[in-house]
Amino acid sequence: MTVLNRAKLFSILAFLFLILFLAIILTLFFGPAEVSLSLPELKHQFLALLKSEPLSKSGAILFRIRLPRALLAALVGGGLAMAGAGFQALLRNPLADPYILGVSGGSAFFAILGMIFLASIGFATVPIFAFAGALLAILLVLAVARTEGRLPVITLLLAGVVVNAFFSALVMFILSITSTRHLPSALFWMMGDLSAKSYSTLGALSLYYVPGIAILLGLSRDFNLISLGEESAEQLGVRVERTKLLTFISASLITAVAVSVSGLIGFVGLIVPHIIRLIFGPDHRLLISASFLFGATFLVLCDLISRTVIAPAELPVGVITAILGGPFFIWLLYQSREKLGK
Amino acid sequence: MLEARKPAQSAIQFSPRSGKQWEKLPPACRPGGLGDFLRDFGKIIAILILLLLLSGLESCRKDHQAQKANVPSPRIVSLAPNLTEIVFALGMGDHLVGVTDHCNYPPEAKTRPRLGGLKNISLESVVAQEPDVVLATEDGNEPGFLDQLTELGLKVKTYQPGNLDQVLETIIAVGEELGKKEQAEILARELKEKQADAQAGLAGAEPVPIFLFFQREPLISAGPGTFANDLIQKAGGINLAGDARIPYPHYSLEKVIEKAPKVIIDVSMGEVGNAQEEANQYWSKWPDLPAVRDQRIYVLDQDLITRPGPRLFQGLLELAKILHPERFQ
Repeated sequence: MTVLNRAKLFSILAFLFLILFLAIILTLFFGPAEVSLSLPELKHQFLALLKSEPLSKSGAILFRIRLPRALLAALVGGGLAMAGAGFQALLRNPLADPYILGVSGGSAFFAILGMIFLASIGFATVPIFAFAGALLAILLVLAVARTEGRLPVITLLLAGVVVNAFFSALVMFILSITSTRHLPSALFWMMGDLSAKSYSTLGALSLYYVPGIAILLGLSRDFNLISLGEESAEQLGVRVERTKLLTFISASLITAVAVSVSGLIGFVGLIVPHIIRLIFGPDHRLLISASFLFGATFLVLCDLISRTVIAPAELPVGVITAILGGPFFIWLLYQSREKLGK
Repeated sequence: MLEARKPAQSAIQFSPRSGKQWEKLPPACRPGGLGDFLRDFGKIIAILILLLLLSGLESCRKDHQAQKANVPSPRIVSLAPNLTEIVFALGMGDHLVGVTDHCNYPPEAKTRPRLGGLKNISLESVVAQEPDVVLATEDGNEPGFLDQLTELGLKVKTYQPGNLDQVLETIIAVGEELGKKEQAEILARELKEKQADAQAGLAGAEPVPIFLFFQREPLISAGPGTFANDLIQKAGGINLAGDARIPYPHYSLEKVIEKAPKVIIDVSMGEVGNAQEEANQYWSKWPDLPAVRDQRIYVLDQDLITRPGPRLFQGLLELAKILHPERFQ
């Protein structure tokens, strides 16, 4: 395994950050509505936003609809990709994604319960329900999979898949007995929806992200050793069981937070870590953080497409991530057959 | 019960000549003794219970027939809420022996036997109602399901009104089917007059830009080809989502802000009590929108503008009043 030196690692991350920044700027200037602002006006509107003064129509469209939405896409995409990289390292399974261990089923079931039976309380209940459902699924998986203080990968995977299947069945049950009135919301939620959120939601989202992201970044070095095998890692001084438990909890929390605000956006968490691995190699010190940056860029651009391609209507962003991500991933895989075959 | 006893018998018959074996068994189980009697007695009891059950079923059937007699012919099953409304409007509500879960109007419709949703109606429950005619829609119901009903010998009639005039045609067609042609024609004439009144009141009025939505998150609106779009135009409005290319688009919020609707209509809430406050709350983020500034956010019953039945004309009138209050004082 090639290990990157520090300078190369930072230059790659800086490059990816620049791309993300450019992608967010790009999405500000594309959309179904016409926005014509000169540079001074733009600056004036931005300052007005910071002082929370009223904005002009164009200013509101730029800074109160497009910008929060782009930031939401970045946070969600980044979080999902990073969690995906974490799960792939934890399970040492290339098919792992953020939803593999029950988070998607648990959160979907509770979010849809909230949507259908508590719609009268207001829509703000859905994120709370989704988060609670994700936590419940995580705890359930953990309780089932943990044996004698250890977390064997095989029981973890099985418990996760079964819990997910069970909750998915409950979702289908609820959807098949519910009135058609709630179906569009539920279906859009399950395909991922990045509709405008307020800046305070974004603030709360990033706050919940911090511990999970910090833990995963801190564990990156250990992932490199664990990828050699749990026993070897143990001999090299890694506390493997503690690392696995921490990874499971922090990656699941990141996923739960992402799902609670945006529904189930597929593909990002699966393919972004693979893309990074195929381009830059398998060093987890880079993989974990680069997955965040590239996942963020990817979802920001997918969201741009989803809200412009059939404008003035919008597509669920999960449709775009799958349509774009699938073929791109296949192409990359085809290109790298020799590299992977070694 | 009989099946379960066989292995025990064969075990006993395994060595029939050994008398001692019999003695090991409790007296009640020995052949020809009390055991045989009890076993036969058990059979008799079982048969008696079976007969009792059968007679019970028979009486149930009689109850069912009695119930059937209560509903005068023709017995009608309606597989769509708009058709249920038409049947009631024609005064034939007493003939309904089956409706869907969505049939909520008039309130009596809720007391009729429910056969399922639109897409998951139980075939046998329809057949069990022994309807003389099944009323259905082409879009709402599964064609395969309706074919099955036809194959089972039921008379299935489908209706698919696509605009206001076709709703009137549907009313007359249903009326003819149910032998209520005269009432249907009267009803159609009344509704036509209601529409004419509304449109006469609107003559020369400046069309008002309006945004109407079915769902808040995501923001699902009424695109071209929907009844809501048709009604908005007929009620003197310009439907902002009319430029989408799909009937129920997830509409871009920035486009709503850009187009600045003068009226916003929220039909997402259904029967919730505080719908108006919630709608106001939701749009309060955009105080510069004309509709928000002028406090012209309204809440409307979704069924009035989506269900192609008699109440669509009431929906038209209400929309016209919302859009042009000065004309209907």
